[in-house]
Amino acid sequence: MCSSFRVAYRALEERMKALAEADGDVFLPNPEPEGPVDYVLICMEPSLGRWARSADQARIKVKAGFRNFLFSIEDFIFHFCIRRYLCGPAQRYHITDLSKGAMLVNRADLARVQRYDRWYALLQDEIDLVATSDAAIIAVGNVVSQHLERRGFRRPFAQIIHYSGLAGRARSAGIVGHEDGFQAFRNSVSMEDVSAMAEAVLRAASVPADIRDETLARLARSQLSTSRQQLVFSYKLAFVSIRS
Amino acid sequence: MRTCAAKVPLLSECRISHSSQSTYFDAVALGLTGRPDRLVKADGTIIPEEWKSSRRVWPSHRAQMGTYFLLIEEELRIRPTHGFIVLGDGTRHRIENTSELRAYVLELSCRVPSA
Repeated sequence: MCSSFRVAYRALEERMKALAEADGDVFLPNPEPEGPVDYVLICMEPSLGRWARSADQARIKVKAGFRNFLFSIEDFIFHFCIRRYLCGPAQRYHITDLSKGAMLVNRADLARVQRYDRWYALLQDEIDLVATSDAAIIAVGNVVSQHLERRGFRRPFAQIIHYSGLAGRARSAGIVGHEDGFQAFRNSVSMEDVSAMAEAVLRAASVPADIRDETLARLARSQLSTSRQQLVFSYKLAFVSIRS
Repeated sequence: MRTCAAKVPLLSECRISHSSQSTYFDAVALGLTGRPDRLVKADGTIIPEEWKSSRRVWPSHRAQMGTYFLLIEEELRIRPTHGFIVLGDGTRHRIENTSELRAYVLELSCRVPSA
């Protein structure tokens, strides 16, 4: 059965797809929330390169059911931390990007502000649809936070570090002053924990089995390095603070 | 715009339940469910209302209202002429039940995969 919420969300996605294509990019849908959520986490834009080498390949994968935020170990560390440290048992979350067209990283830096401006109304529509009236909004990284500030975003929002490996210094900076806490914490989360959560996330997103299996097989070859443990710890601190 | 006539039911298979807060529609034949925030009887018709905390009416709100129009028509055999989106500042915005909105919602519902 299809709820009125899903119909409305699909209407929103139609407009997102049209804008991404008008930008010359490939629309990469986010995992669809089942209903209004308690937390909305706003990232930057989807990147091409690792999950698809070209726009044509990206379109094929999207048509096959590939979805945003469900590829890298950092994606799943993000989900893991949200589910374990942010959401309560009956709470839901939604991860989105300011702009939804997938592009190569070097192109993403070009005219970013103008692109974000083009997407801003759709972001507002998205948040008005998916977020409950008292939902917490979280900007992921400085760039998103600055843009929301610049646009006079009407809801209060918190800021957390970006989970990208490119922001590795922020991870180590995040444990400064919490070194003992980090040492006590670091072995409390294992790669198996992250993989188990990843499987739950992929199943909840109704990702096709072949994509799910390929993703989980790739994750199984990943390591929870010290840098990634720092990322988990930083998110734990941030999310516990946001919840309180 | 692609049509989706196969989705339009001939017989009602809806279930409807009421609570103190709102009415829940479950239209099996349409494959749609929904819970408008309020239903108002007026002038021989039923007017759905949806309350939003936002400051403006977005296209997704219209799609949601269009779903309610279909559900009410299917279950109650009354085609609402319009509904209202009530925004966070209390302003009421009238949404007409047009054939274009109906076709758009049916098209969208066809694309929504079963959960």
